[in-house]
Amino acid sequence: MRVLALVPAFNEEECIEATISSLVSTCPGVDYVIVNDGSSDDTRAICEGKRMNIVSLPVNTGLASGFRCGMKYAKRHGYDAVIQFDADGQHLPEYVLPMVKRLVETDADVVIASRYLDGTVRPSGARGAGSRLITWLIHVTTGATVTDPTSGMRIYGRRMIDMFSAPSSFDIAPEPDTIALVARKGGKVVEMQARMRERQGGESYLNLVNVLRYMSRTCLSIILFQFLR
Amino acid sequence: MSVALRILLIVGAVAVFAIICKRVKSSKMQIMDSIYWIVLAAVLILNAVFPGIAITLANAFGFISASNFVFLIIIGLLLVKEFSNSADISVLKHKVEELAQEQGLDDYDQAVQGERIGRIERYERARRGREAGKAGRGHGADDPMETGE
Repeated sequence: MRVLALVPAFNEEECIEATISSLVSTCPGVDYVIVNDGSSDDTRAICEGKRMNIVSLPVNTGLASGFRCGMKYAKRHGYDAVIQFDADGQHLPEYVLPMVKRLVETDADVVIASRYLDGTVRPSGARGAGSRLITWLIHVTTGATVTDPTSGMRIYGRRMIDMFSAPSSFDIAPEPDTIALVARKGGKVVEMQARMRERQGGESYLNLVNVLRYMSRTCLSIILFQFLR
Repeated sequence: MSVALRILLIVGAVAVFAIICKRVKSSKMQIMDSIYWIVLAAVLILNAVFPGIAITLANAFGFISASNFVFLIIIGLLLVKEFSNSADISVLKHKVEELAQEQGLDDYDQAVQGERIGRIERYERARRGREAGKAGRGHGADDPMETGE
């Protein structure tokens, strides 16, 4: 079983090195690839200087595109599973191997590292409300229960690698709407409890405008467009 | 429909026509994309030269004035264009993303290959050096043990 940790990176010069070194030392059997999505800072220079495994896109194309690039890499290098691992240090490498194990045991298409599976209450305010709304929408439209749909730490099996890397795949993003789509099409989505850290550096892209765009896109996709795909 | 509006329509149409011709001539617009604007200009001129068409249609649909009907046509045409632009941009975005991904992966493959060739070359150099050394004529100028990895 060959597992690839896919680390999308956009302007992550502050923490990419620490993230990768802790990933490599914790999970020696797992390969990784950094997909540098046209960073304007020193992300690329740092990674190449330290001889890390990095694919650099010539321009900034967005998380979904960077992620798909990593999926193409996985497909072309024959990996069996891909785990999305954030460059900013939010994701803990200790959970990588348990997630791989869970993926194999359950023969799932996606295993999500959930912060709320054990009953932990979601944060109050807009963040928790958004998360609850997406959980509810996915449940209503597909019947699946996903307690932490916005968790970015997910491991994808081979069928998902095929789906993301196919040249015909249009507008498929590593986001909750894809989870809903997979669940509705009969794929298996499993969650397991995990802890996450605060980001260790870099800047969050979650400003008000982006949050509104993200929520609008996600909700519209789950409510309406997944039935047309 | 007032004479002033008819003149305005013709002036507008001629201006659109002239700008489009200039753009196509200076290679700033593809002929395929000029079709819409040429048709738009033609529609404006048709309305200006034969106001009867707009007046008849306006009456048939219950518009108070023919000019309102002309405005509606123009708004409708612009909406169609805006929609097709939006769809085209979506496709273009997808294509740019695909190209960027492919270029990134190609660059990666090339770098990996370059590294491999470099390693083979270093190995070959070291091997040749060793053989020369065994032949007893190695003057120690390039010690194979140093060039090897």
